[in-house]
Amino acid sequence: MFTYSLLYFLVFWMVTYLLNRKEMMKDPKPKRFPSVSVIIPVWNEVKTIKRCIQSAVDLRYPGEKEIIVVDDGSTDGTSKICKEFEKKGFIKLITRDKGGEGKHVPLNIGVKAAKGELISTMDSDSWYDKDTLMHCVGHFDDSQVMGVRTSIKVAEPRTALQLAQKVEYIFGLFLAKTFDFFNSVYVLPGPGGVIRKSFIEKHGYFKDNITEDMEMGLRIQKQGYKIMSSINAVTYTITPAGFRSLFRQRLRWLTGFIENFFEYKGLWGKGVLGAFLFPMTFLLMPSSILFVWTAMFKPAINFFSYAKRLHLINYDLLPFILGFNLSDLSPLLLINSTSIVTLMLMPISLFMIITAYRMVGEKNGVVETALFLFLYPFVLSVVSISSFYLSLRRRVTKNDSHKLWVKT
Amino acid sequence: MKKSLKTHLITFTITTFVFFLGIFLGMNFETSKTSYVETHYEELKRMVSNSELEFYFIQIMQANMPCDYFIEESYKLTKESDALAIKLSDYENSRGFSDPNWLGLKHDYTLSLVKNWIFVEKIRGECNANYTTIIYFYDTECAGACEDLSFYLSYYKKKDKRLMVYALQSDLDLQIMNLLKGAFNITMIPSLVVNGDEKFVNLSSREEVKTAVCSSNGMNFC
Repeated sequence: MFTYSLLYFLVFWMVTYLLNRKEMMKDPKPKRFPSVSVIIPVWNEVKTIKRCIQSAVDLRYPGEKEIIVVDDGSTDGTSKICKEFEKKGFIKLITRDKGGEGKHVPLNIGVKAAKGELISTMDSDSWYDKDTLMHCVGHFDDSQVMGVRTSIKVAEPRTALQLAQKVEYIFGLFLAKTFDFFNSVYVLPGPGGVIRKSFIEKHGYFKDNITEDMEMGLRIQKQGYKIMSSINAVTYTITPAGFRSLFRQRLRWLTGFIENFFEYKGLWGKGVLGAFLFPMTFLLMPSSILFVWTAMFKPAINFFSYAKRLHLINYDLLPFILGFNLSDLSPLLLINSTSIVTLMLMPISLFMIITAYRMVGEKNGVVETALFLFLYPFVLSVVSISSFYLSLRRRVTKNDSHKLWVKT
Repeated sequence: MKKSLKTHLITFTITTFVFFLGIFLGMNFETSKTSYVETHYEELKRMVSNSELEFYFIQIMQANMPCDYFIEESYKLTKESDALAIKLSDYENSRGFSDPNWLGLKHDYTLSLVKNWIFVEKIRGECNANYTTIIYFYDTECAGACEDLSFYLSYYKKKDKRLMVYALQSDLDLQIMNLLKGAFNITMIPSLVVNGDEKFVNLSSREEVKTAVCSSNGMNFC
C-alpha cells in the first residue's frame, strides 16, 4: 500500500512533467511593470545580510522598486550594515529595539510601510538572482494570480548534507512547477516569494504562524486564487549544514504543515491539493517509518545482536575475517517483491532528478545525487519521524520563535 | 479537472503496471529462491550419497581404505553443509518459519546433515582422523543460550577447520531426531555431543565451550 502510494506519487509528477514539458520553463512576458516593494525582515544575520540587501539593490527591474529592511532588534552588527545601505539611500530601514515576537511582526511592519503594488519577501540568509523579478511579474497580468513562488537553490553547498539538500531543492522546484499545472502550489516561500499587496490588505496580514509563508499560500488557495511557480525566477539560500540545524528546520516546517493542515481543513478533499497532495504528504510518513525500520533498525538490531557477543570472544575477530567466504553470501535470497518495487522507484527518481537539473541549467553532480539517493533518505526519515512526533506533541513553543523564524 | 483526470488515469495505469510487474518479478524471485536452495541441497545430497557409496564399495572390496581421500571428502562435505546452512538461514529470514517450502527443505537438510555426520564419524573411526565432530542440539524455543553457544562454536570452527559442527534443530518432527536424542539421552537444550560420545550441557562461558571442544582430539587452539 505504502510502496504503491509512493510509486503513484512519483509517477504522477513524472506524467505531469511529460504532459506539460513545453510549458515548464515558460514565464509570461510582462505587459506592464507594477511597483514592487522588497521586504527583508532580519534578526542577527551579520554574515549574510550584506549580500542579501545588495542582491535586492542589484535586481533588474524597469518598474518602480523599493527595499524595506525591518531589523527586529539585532545585536550582532547586522544593524550597522543595514544603516550603511540606508545612508546610501538604497533602502528604507525600520529598526525595532526589541523584537522576538515572531517573523510575522517585522514582515507586517514592512508590508504596512510598503508602497508597491507587489510585495516580495526575502529572508535575510538568502538572496536574489538579478532577473528574479522580471520572471515573476508577467504572471500578475492574470488578475487571478495572487502570488508567484521563486525557484530556491542552495547557495554554496559545502557539507554532505548541504549537497544532498541541493538536489532536494532542485527536485522540489521541479515538483512545485508541476503543482502549478493543477493550481496546487500552497507555499509562498520566504526567499523571494511575490504577493499582491491588495490580497494582503483584503484578506489579512501575515499571521502568527510558524510557517507564515505556507499559511499565506493556503489562504490564497482557500480564496480560490492562483499561485504560480517560476523556474526561471531564481533565489539562493543557505541551508542547514549539520544534522541539528536540519532537524530544527524540518521540525519547524512539519509543525507548520500540521498546524496549517488542520487550520485549512476546508481545503481537504478539494482539487488536486486537498484530495491528492495533502493525503499523500501524510502517507509519506508511514513510508518513512517503514523505510527506517527495514533499512536502518532491522540491520542495526542484527548488527548489535552480533556485536554484543563479541565480548564473549574477547573481540578476537581475526578468525572470522580470515575465514570469510564470499560464496556464502547469497544476495538473491534477500530480494522480495517489495524490494523489487522499491528498486523500480530508483530509475523514476533518477529520471526526475536529471530532468530537474536540465531544466534549471545546473550541472548534475554524481556525488550529490548519490548522497541524495542513498544517504539523505536515512537522515531525512529520522528527522521527519522525530519532527512529526514532536510536532504532534506541540513541543515548539512561541518562545522559540526568534530562533526558528530566520531560517527557511 | 479534465487535465487532472487525464493525468491521474495515465498515472494509475503506469503505477499499476509497474507495481504488478514488481510483484510478478518478486514472485518469480521467490520461486527462484526455493529452487536456488533446493539446488544446493541436491548438490549436498549427491555428495553425501557419493561418499557413502565409495565408502561401502571399498569396504565390500576389502580394499585398503584410502584415508587421505576420505578425510578430504569429509572436509568438503562439511564445508558444503555449512554453506547450505547459511543459505537456509537467509531463506528462513526472507520467507519465515511458516513457509512450507522452508520446512520441507529444513527436514531434508537435517536428514542430509545426519547422514553427513554418520559418514564423517565412520571415517574418523576407520582412519583415526584427527578431527572433532560435534552434534549441537538446539531448538526454536532456546534463544540467548543457544545464540551464545552458536557464536562460540562458529568462532572455534573458524579457528580450526578440523572442528566439524552439525547443528540439529531438535524440535523437528523427524524419527531420526528422536532416535538421536534417545541415543545420547538429550533432555536439555542446548546440548553438545563430541565425537559421538561425550555429552555436554549447561555451557555458558567460552572456557566451558573450549573444554568441551578440546575434550577429544587436540585442536590447534586447545
